[in-house]
Parts: sequence; C-alpha cells; structure tokens
Amino acid sequence: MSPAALSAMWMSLQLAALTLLIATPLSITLAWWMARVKWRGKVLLDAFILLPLGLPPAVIGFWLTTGLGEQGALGRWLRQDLGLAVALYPTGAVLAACIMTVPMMTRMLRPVFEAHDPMLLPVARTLGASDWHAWRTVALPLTLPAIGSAMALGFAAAWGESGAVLVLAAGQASGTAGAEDPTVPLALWQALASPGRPQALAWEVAALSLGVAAIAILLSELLRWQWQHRWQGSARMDWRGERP
Amino acid sequence: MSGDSPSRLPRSLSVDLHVRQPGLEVQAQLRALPGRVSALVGRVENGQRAILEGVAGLRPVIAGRVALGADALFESRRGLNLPPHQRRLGWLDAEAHLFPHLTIERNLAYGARAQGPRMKVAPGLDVPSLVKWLDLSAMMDRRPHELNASQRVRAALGRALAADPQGLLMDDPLGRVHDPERPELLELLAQVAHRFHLPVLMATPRMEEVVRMADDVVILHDGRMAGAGPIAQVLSDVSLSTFLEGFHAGSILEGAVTRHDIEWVVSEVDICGQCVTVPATLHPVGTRVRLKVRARDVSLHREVPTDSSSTNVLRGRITQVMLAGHSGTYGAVGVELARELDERLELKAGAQIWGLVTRQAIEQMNWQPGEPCVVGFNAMSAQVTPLPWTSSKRG
Repeated sequence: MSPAALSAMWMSLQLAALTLLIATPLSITLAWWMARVKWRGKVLLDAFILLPLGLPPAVIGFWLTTGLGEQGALGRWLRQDLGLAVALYPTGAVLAACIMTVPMMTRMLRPVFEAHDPMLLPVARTLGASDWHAWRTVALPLTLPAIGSAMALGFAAAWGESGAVLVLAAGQASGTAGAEDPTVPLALWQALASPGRPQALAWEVAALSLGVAAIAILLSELLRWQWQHRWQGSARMDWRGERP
Repeated sequence: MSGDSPSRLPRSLSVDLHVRQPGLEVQAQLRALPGRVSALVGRVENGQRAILEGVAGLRPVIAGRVALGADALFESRRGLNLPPHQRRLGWLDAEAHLFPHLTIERNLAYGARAQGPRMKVAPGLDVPSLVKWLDLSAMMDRRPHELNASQRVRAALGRALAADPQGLLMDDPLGRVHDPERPELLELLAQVAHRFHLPVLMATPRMEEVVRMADDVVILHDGRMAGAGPIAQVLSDVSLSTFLEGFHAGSILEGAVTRHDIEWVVSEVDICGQCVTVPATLHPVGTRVRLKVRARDVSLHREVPTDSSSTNVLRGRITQVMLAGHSGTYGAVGVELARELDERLELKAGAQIWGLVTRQAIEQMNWQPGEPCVVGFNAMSAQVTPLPWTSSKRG
C-alpha cells in the first residue's frame, strides 16, 4: 500500500473518529428529546434538525466556507474573540461531517428511544433513581446496541463525506483543492484531477473505502439485529400485551 | 417477614389533587392510613390513573397537595413539588414494567442501588424473606420476558417493596393476570398494606378486588368525586352504584364468623348482633368478614315471614325510600339494621342494607321512612370475603 493511500486512510480515520466523538452525544440527546417531548412547534424543529439530510453536502460546505472564512462572521468571532484559528480544512471538515452525520444518527436513534416502554423510566424514578441515574441504568443499557449501530453507520458516512469536504478544502487552498493530508475521497479526487491521473492510487483508496464501508455497515446491521432480538420476549409482550 | 419496624414511623398518605388529562379534569381527595387501603373506583378511565400518577409525581398537576403525615411532597400553594425519586411512593400497575435487561434479582435490587447510601433500610425489611413470601426464589436468575403475567406482578411488587417505600400506588395491578391466577395474587396484594404498614392507594375496575382489599372507597365519575367513605357505607349506597360498571347495587355488611354448621354445611356470621346464615366458609370462627348482598336479592316484610325460603331475617327500620329507573319504575328502600347491645352493654356499630323493589310493591305496602320492617334474603345470595387485613389462611 502506498504511503499516500495510508496517509489518506489515517486522515479519514481521524476525521471520522473526531466526528463520532462530537456527533454521538449530540444525536443521542436530540433523538431522546425528539422521542419524548411533545409540543406543537416540535414538527418544525424536527424538520430543521433533519434539514441537512435533504441539502446537497456541497451547499453545507459552501456555507461553512463563507461562515468560517476570513470574512465570515463565525470565523471572525472565533479568531478575534476566542483566539481560535479555525482552518477550513481539516477542522472545518469535521464540522461539516458532524452537520451531515448528526441528522442521520438522530433519525436512526429516534425510533429506538420510541420503541421502549415509556413507563420504565418513571418506574425507576419511583424506586428512588434520580433522572440521570434512571437514564444511565435503564435507557442507556437498553439502547446500547442500537447506539452502536448508529455509530457504525455514522462512522462510514463521516469517512466518506466528500461533498462538503471538497468545497471546504477548495476554499482553504484558494481554489486549487490542493489540500495537504487529504482524506480518502479527497485523495481520490486529487488523483483523478492531477495531470498524470495516477489510477493506481485511485484504485487503492477505492478498495480501501469498500472494505471500511462493508465492515461498518455489517457491524451496524449486526448491532441493530441484536438490539431488536435481545429482549424479544419483552418487546413482543409490550405491544401485544402477552407473551409469545 | 415482619413488617413491624419500630424505628420507622408509618405515616398516612393524604391526597387532594386537581389533574388534567386529555378531555377530562379530575379532582379527588383521599387519604390512606398506614396499613390501610383506599380505592379509587368508577367506570374505566374516569381519571383514576391520572390521580395516581399525580401522587407519584409522574404527571404535571394543576393544583393540590400530597402529604405523608405532616410532610408535604407536593403543595401547589407553596410551590413545593418533590421529584418522584424523593417521594418514595412505590408504583405497581398491570404491565409490571420490569427492567427487561436485568435479571429478577437485579430488578429487586434496583431501588437499593439507585438510592445508594441514602436508603435507610428499615430493620423489618428483609429481602430474602420478601422473595420467599412472593415465591420468587426459583426465578431470581431469570429475565422478565421468561416470566408469566402473575410472576411479573409479584416481581414488580417485590421490586417496589424492596425499595423501602413510604406508600404504595397500585393501578389495576391484576389487569393482565389470567383469571385462574387472580385469587391467589389478590390474597397476596390484600396483605401488603397491613404486613408492611404502608398506606396504599389503588385503582381497579373489578369490584371483587375492592371488596377484598379496600377500607375506604372514592367513587370517581367524570373526574369528580361522586362518593367517598368507608367501603361498607359507600358500596351499600344504592344511589352511588349507578356510577359503577359491573357492580350490582347492593350492600356490604361487616361482621364476624360465629359458628360453622357441619351438618348443613353453612356458617353463621354475626352482623350487628343479628345472626346471618351464609354458605359454609373456611374462615375460622372469629374471623372478621364482609358480606355482599345484592339489593335485588333482598325482600321486605312487615312481620317475620313464617313460610319463606329466605333463610335470613333481619330486623331494622326504614331510613330511605327512593324511586329510581325511568320515571320511577322501581325503588330502593334503605333499612338500618336494629343494633343490639353487646356484652359490655354498648350499642354495636350500625349497618345499612338496601332492597330493590318495584314501585307497585312500595305503594301497595306503603313503605315509609321510620317504619320498622324485616328484611329477608337467601343464604346463597350472600358473598363472603374476609376483611383486608385478615389473612385468609384456610384452616
């Protein structure tokens, strides 16, 4: 394996891991909240959270480029008031990947939280468990495999996030898309765009991506299956009111 | 297990709540002394569950007060609203809601773990004997989905009691249990309040559970209290029985078993000093029991009938004559039973019995309040249930 391919893989890995680190707690919170809270305006907020799923990723990348760039309000605030130098790539890419991953994971986790008996937590509270303790000891263990499943799919998505990342990288390198340390999709694009068209590198990163995607999706499905069948007896009892 | 825990003072649970549920505003006041059961009855979905959830702190409440003894758990006037985990009121309903990812043993230990060092375990609370009493020993390693409905209710009851609650809230706890398993579980539930010195509030649509378990009854109708008071008084009030589905208007009489007649296979019960014959029961002499007599099984006479199949003849005085039904087609006659002096020459507690008769009978016999009369009913029409806090060990 060529050093370029290895470096691209390492970069993608870092990007995906960092994205998961941010996106997982965020999507668990959002999904939990969306599954439990009931008020009239909720549907609008629901739609807003899911909006990035319907937007072309390049548009997200474009908005982030203008927002985080030299002239962008967000970029200026970060740089001048907080003293944080935020590069469009790779830091901005993590943000872009989060924006794309959170709605997807939220969408996956929401039915999971909705599926469980809604009286379990209240009953835990009557037994003396605080809100957080009840969540940690009941809601979390019950949904853990499903959370793992969402994380695996989120990892695959963040790994391959290209639309927004390309635009961000292009913005960083002032139009040439010549970012150093490219991620896997970026390396593929760079390889095809460069004069010699080094097909070998393209094939290499393509095969790599296929492997990562296959493992991630398989893991996601396995965990999801486990979540569905783990407490099957009780789950079936819950909606039919009796044991099989 | 002995529920006697001298270090912990049992406190009564008093409730006065105004709760809103979709399409219904519910208001109720009720109170349960330690060791006693107050039942919320009424047609299905008249707000019984909403009140219990409000008491537990699981549902927003519009106004009111919930208190254990003198300590308020919720008081809208003072803005006091303790979260459910600080109220320490156990919850039991038909679905049991056992934690599916935990074994029964860990389910039972949940309260102690959640409360950690905050939990001051009462000396009387002894989990192994609780497990034995609930007959859960064989299933401690199993998970909830491996248990049947009756076992799940027992496990959920054990989990609630092992968390050392200060009171217990039960919403139709036998709702999912199959009929053949119900009587045994009902006996167990009937002992809980007394055994653990807990105030218990319950809601159930089945009147036999109310008659077996409750001391006080609150009838909810359209979210309002249609009647409240001691069970013998409330359920003997014919005017209130219209609010109860599947409950035949009748009377609840309380008394004690005095004699068993082996030759005729009947038992005798003392009601207000008068002797009532009932089908043979297995409750030993001296057991306090409740008799339920349907109002339509009761006949009214001026004199003691000499030729009648009514085995039971009780003397009393008419207190009320009410016409009921569409344009008064029939009437309910309330009779206060004559009380006799007991061995200490004190009047025994009174009791009221109701008879349903046609308007024709009322007018022809010219029944008037204040008149002495004789009520008769067949021994077979009396249903015998022990009082809630008496164990019904057959012997």
